[in-house]
Amino acid sequence: MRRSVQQRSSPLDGLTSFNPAYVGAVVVLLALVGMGAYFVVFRQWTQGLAVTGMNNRVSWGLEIVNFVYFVGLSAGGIIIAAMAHLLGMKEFKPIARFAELLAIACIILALFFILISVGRPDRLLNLFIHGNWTSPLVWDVTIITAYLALAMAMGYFGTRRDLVKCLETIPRRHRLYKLLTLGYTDTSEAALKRDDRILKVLSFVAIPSAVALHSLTAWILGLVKAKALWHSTLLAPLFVVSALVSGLALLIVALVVMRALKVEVRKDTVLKLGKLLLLLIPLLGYFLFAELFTVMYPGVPKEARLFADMMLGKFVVVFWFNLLVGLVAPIVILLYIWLAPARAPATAAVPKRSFAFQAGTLVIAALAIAAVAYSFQLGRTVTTAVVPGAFSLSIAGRAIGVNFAAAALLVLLATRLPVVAGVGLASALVVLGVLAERFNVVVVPFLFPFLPYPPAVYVPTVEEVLSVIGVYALGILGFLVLAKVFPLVEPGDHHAEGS
Amino acid sequence: MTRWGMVIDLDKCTACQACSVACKTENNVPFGTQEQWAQERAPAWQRVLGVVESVNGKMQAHFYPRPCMHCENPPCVLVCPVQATYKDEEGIVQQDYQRCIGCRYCMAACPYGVRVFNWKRPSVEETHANYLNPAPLTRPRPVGVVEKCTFCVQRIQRAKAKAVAEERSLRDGDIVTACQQTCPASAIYFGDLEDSNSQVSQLARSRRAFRLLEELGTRPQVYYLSEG
Amino acid sequence: MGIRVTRRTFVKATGAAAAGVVALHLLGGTKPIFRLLGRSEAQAGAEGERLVPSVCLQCPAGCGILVTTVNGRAVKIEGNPLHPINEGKLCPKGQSGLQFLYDPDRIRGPLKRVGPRGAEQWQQVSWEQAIAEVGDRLRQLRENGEAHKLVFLSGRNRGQMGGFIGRFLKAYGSPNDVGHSSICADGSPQAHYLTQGFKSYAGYDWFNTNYVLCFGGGFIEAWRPTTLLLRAHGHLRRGRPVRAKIVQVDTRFSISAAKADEWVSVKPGTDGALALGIAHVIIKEGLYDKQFVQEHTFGFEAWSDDKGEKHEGWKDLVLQKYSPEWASEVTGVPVETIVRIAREFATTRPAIAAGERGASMQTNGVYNRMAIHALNALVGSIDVPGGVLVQKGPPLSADPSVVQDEISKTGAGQPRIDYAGTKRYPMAGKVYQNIAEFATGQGPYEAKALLIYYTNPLFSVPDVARFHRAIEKIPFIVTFSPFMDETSHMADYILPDDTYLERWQDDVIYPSLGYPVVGLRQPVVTPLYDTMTTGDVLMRLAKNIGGTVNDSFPWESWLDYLKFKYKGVWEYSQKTGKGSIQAATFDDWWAEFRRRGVWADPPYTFGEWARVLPTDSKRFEFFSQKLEHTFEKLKMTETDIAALKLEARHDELFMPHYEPIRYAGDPQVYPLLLNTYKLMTHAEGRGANVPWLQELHGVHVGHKGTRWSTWVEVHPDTAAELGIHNGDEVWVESQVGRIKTVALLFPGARRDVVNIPFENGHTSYGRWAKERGANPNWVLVNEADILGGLAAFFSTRVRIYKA
Repeated sequence: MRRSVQQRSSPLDGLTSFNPAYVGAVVVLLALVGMGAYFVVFRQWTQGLAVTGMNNRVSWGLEIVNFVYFVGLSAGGIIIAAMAHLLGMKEFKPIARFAELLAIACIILALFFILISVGRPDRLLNLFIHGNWTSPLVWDVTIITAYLALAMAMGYFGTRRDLVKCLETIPRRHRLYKLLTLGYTDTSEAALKRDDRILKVLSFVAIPSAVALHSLTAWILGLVKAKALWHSTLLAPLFVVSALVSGLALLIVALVVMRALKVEVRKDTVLKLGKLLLLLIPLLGYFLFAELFTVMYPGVPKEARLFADMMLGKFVVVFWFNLLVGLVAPIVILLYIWLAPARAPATAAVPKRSFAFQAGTLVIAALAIAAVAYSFQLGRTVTTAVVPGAFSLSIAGRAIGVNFAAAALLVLLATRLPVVAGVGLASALVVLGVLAERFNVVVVPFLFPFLPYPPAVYVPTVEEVLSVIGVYALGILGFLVLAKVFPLVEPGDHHAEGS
Repeated sequence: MTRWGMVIDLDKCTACQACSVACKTENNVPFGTQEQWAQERAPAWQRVLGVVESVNGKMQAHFYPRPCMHCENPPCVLVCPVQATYKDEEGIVQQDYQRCIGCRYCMAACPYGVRVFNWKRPSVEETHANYLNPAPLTRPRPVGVVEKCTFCVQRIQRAKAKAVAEERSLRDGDIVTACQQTCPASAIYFGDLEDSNSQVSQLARSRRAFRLLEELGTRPQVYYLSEG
Repeated sequence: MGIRVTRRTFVKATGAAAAGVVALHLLGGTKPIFRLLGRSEAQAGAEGERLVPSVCLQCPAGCGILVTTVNGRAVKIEGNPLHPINEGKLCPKGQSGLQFLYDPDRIRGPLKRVGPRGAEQWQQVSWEQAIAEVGDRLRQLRENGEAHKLVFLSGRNRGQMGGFIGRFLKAYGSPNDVGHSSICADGSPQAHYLTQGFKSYAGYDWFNTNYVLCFGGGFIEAWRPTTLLLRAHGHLRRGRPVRAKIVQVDTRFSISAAKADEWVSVKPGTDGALALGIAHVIIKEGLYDKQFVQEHTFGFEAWSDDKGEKHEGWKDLVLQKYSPEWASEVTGVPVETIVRIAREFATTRPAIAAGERGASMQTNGVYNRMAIHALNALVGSIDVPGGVLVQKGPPLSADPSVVQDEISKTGAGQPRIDYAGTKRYPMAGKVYQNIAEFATGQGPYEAKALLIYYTNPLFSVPDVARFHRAIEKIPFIVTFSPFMDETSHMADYILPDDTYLERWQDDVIYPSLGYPVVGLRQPVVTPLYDTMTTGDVLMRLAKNIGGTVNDSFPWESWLDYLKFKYKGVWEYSQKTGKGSIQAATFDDWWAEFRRRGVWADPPYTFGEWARVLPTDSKRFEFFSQKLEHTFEKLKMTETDIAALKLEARHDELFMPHYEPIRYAGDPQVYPLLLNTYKLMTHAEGRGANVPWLQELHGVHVGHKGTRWSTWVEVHPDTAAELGIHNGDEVWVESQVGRIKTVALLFPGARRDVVNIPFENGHTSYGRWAKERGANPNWVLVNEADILGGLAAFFSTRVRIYKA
């Protein structure tokens, strides 16, 4: 079976054609962005942040969760691109540019979350006019700005050759491409060599910058002693790892989606990235365990109370989702893909199924579902008995059970998917799992003030969620637009096929 | 040098919350509606916190009037990205409502939860506008910024001006905060902690004196005197 | 100008330098507010600032206040340092008066009902029309020979207002001057009257006492004078070298209990038994003040009367019947605690045994209260520093006698509509809570007109549904409320009073300090709306009715009357050289009175026994001759006494003893007891329209969902048995009704008692109060004290279940 891309005469043809599906997607995304913008501008900015679910106890909510999350997501792109440029990993070379763009997009979206989070966006410039150099937020804004510049530079030098090509082939967009190339249109061999050298240098800088970026983002929280769990030495390394994991996972998801959209992304590339992900996820799990164990074993009061609540309290679903669906399930799926004993020939899209494995998974799922069902029954009986707190315990049990069942069913599903899709599914779960982790890290400590305030709550409002969705939509829209500006993945004909 | 500080005697305190109301009328802090309180969005600069519990079958209750602690090592000042909150030369942690960008980092950083955010555009119910205190330093704060207890900085200014007019220096007891003035049990003291003869610094050295969350090293300038 | 200060000096001195640095940052973003304020920003706070002394009326304590006004608007209320009750301090209620004054839902002028009752169809009328129409109606009543069928319900009558209403009724010809004391705290005055001969609340020398034993009164939350008690608490704790011991006897863990050194939890209504158990130990161990008992008491030992009849002494009664074991059985307090407290109380003198509503507003309230007060006599705490004081009033001019025509004489001579002082309620002065029944058929005659001043029976009597049912049957109702409360909502005319910050009134302090103190309430701002001080309204009504009714009011205005009364004080000061204001002329004296806002005549003089012990025996009576004489006068027979459900007989009837508490309701159906209480932020039932108070409710339970609301406190064990969780909506039901509220699990509640605070549950009373929380009066059964006709607010059995 030959892929349709290879039937095209030139990869640049797609840039100027707009099929109905594309237009439809753009319209839907525009609508979502518009809706988000409406809520931000006409509700939040006119009425105040009262339209969100935040309050004086929980002063940061979804917006900051997503800020931290998106800063983290930017890591994958930069690291993969840097690996490609620096280590000359050829299989990553075609997607390097895409990875850089992904990083840039994530950072820009992170800044959007800052914009919709502050109470006085009209005064954001004060950050530069009156910047306070003792504030980790100012450090972070600085490093983000530097990092963004770096990513853009990498993107520029990685894309320049194609932009020049576009400049030549699509005269209608002459001014656009002229602008994007910044007037530097030399595509001689020497110039391209120099581009590569610059990319190498930038990549060399990028890796420590990424560590700095994620550490500094962690320190926005980690340097605050007023919150249990934030104030931990592990937080910065944890953020670096979870940034790597989530960023890599996001890149894989994006590539799988691109592949599904008939953009040429090699299966090998995806599988290799998947393997890398498989190596990294347990590291994240290890960090989480280290934090939990260090606190729970000696029973450090403030932190232990917080963890107990995280595992069994109000946001019980979030914690177990992170653990079971976001960490365990992807590991099992990825392990299954690589360890399934008799791999079918490369032509077979679906790996051979292991009956025992699937049966086992099914049993786990069934047991979990039974447990959930029982917990409902339990909830009824126990509440009538005299066990204080039984009700919330049964709710916790239910939440754990649901996540168990979901994880098992997802694993089962993955075994029936083609490998690439399986890797994609595992990565998507990781991406969502890390979002849950970010939520836990940022929001839950707010619920445990040190002084005896009444129990705090945080329930995101519809406005808040829709604003966040609007920002997500803005990101995807950006990609759709860029897809029509230049080839997002380096066209295959530039590089000799290596294996 | 002056370092303003407060001492609150919990043995005298009756948890009557007169301080809370005094603060509201003095500083134009709007009342919190039921919904705002349920959501923990109500503004209160001087709030009485209570712990009521049964300890081994014996009821115990402790109440703490909680102003801003005006820490010597204020975490909020450290993290504010735009220097909107700063420590002035007399030790008061001030808030510049015109510079604040409303990022609420200071609220996250304050271990005492004293900072409140203006979640809504300030508004006043019809005739209630009449009782707003028109003094320049107590103007209602705009939407989208963080506010908190100022140690009644307007009263400090007023006392200083009076001393200047009377051609003398400030004396201990010249400055009376709104909460202190009204406190029926006289449980609140205010003065200069640098002046070792002032009442506050004497009380702060008492055996009963302690500070909230001392282990965090914020060094609050509000001391409490224990009960019993 | 002394106390009157302008801020101009301040602004000049500080100028831009002082205010500038920070102020500049504050200027922006506040435009909407200042537009509402209707003044330019430059003007704000600079000029037109005044301090006006007046007297608070958020409770009856009579604290002096200083109100800051700017350009005629009141912007802050602080304590008046010259006033000896509060010495510059002020409780939260007092400071929130601003929101009372500027309540957006005040009644803005006289209203006449045009639709059906309660339909809120009102016609704005002029004062002339309102006075003429109400006056005509009242005149007609007189002319029909039904003057006595006018009933005047009144509540917070301060200073001369109570007497003025009495004067109006006497001149008009009605005996039905019904104050609210029987739903207030009349148990204490009655107990003082029966034992010590004075019929009012007692003063206590809180600041100098060493031991406070407080029964059922919210010492630092709901008692009076609030600010004085709060000040006393601070003083007793750390204001002097010796830290006094405070013991709080209370059904629930109140703030007073929390802040006391010891909390003694008793079953509701058994406070008297505890006091008697304590008395037993004190007597048995010989710890009582033998000299005082011998010199100044009557009936302690066995005695014989004029006829030579032998009578048992109180000592023997107590020793025989009230052992600590017995008291422990009745109250649920351990024997050791009773014995220890008795010893402490008797040996840590001066000691005060005080009690209030929790002990006295019970079916056995007056006897409970007598037993508590007897403890003071036992340890010699009557009229000593650190003990019980008897309050002196100011030396006012005597009123000229009321001019009465035949109608007035006949009318005023009719029996009271509320049976007060009859066999039914032998010791009662007023029986307010039963007016609903009495006025609509169960009384000696039906009421034809109801005037209602500063009270709200449709909200504040037990089993309030009775009043709602009865109100329709009363043909003519006029209220004087500045707010649309539940009663005004059903009225025919509303003649709105000025609020306390807009009117003239004197305010004689609530009994406390002993020496005479009186404050002057003067308009802080000009009245905001077309309202009129009720004193003036009464005079204008009298004028409209004409004849002798008008002749009884020979003053030009209410203010004129006040000045007339206070000329007496000036004359006294002139004559004796005493009192805090000395002036050559009355006008000067009055001007100084206005400037200070208070007149006082310290110090309290001890040892005036004739004044302190005005009983028949001129002694403190452990055997109440007053009560005996009342019973004789009423010719109380065995049947009458049985009808009162009294268990004691003969001599015991007239001594402080324990009458078993009666709870209303079948314990099988209603297994729990309902306890009601007041909060610091309660403002005596009139604070629900004050947001600053609403938002502070419930600090004693950690403010957990209590603000702006009502809740029921349930012990966690009881809740677990009932399957009720924290925050559940529950019904609280008694035999007369049920209310829905939120359950709050509170380990400070007794397992057999649930507690609901008063304050909310209004169906009217403005936007802040309306339809918020629940009013326990809908659940309380209307039980009354045996002797005094006091409404029993703590005697109802209830059950609770999930809504």
